[in-house]
Amino acid sequence: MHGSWLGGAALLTAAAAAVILVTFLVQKPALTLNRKLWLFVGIGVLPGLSAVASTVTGMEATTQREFCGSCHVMASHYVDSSSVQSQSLAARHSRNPFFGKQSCYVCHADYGMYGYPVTKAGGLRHVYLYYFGGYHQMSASEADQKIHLVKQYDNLNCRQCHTTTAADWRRIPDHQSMRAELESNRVSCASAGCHGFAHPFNKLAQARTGPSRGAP
Amino acid sequence: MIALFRRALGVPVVGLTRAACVFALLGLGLMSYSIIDQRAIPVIVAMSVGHAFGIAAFACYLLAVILDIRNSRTLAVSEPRNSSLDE
Repeated sequence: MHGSWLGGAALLTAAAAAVILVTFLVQKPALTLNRKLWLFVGIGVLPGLSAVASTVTGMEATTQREFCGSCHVMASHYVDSSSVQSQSLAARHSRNPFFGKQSCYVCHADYGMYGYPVTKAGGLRHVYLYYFGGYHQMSASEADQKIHLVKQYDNLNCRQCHTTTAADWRRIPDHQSMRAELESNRVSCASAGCHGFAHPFNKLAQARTGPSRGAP
Repeated sequence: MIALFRRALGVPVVGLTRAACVFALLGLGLMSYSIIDQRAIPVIVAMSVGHAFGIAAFACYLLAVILDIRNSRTLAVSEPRNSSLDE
């Protein structure tokens, strides 16, 4: 459980509401004003608090690396990212103490005003494809060959942290010469000639079988 | 829609209240389970079906309260007439 005190608060309020509701169902008392107020607490106030706390906890859980790795088709990505020996871009970012536990979300989330709901809607699409798009039956090695990004990786995601205005960034001649290509995503930061693939085993698997567009 | 509302008005208050309790317990169960088992399906089910149960529970409770108030008003209006008839 990733949870914070909010998870505990959700469970506590749910338990308190359950006590009120079960007592009412078992005792079958008359509906006096006092009972109605208790029921308001048991049906409205406490479940409302529990819903808010569990939603926040659930949304928080969906940003964790373990959550992304809970589908077997993500096993290779998860194992590589979590490996302390791996030198892949994903693994090195996952070792970052500030956001490492949420590395999948931090690197793949859309940014901007509607970034959060757009990312969550994309996540729902992943769940749909997992259960109804054939991924559930697919072996992990098969998935490694088929899984690819639905759209080109946006360098803006890298630039959220690696600012292009810093002197260190501007000092690199390749950054200067390819600035336009990097800004328009014609060249990816995470490409073979630059900083390397984020998930290199995935690219190797796809290189062995040829490019696949079987599933987004 | 109006027919549905009229039918709802005919439902006994106690039945509605008990239904509200059951819906709320189901919703709370799903939401609590999603905190213990934080995989995709439990979390999604809690945030969709769980919340739907919660909303249904509160709607049933509100309807029960409205019906109870209406019934008590009807009773209050009819009581003086009955008392005058007794005399």
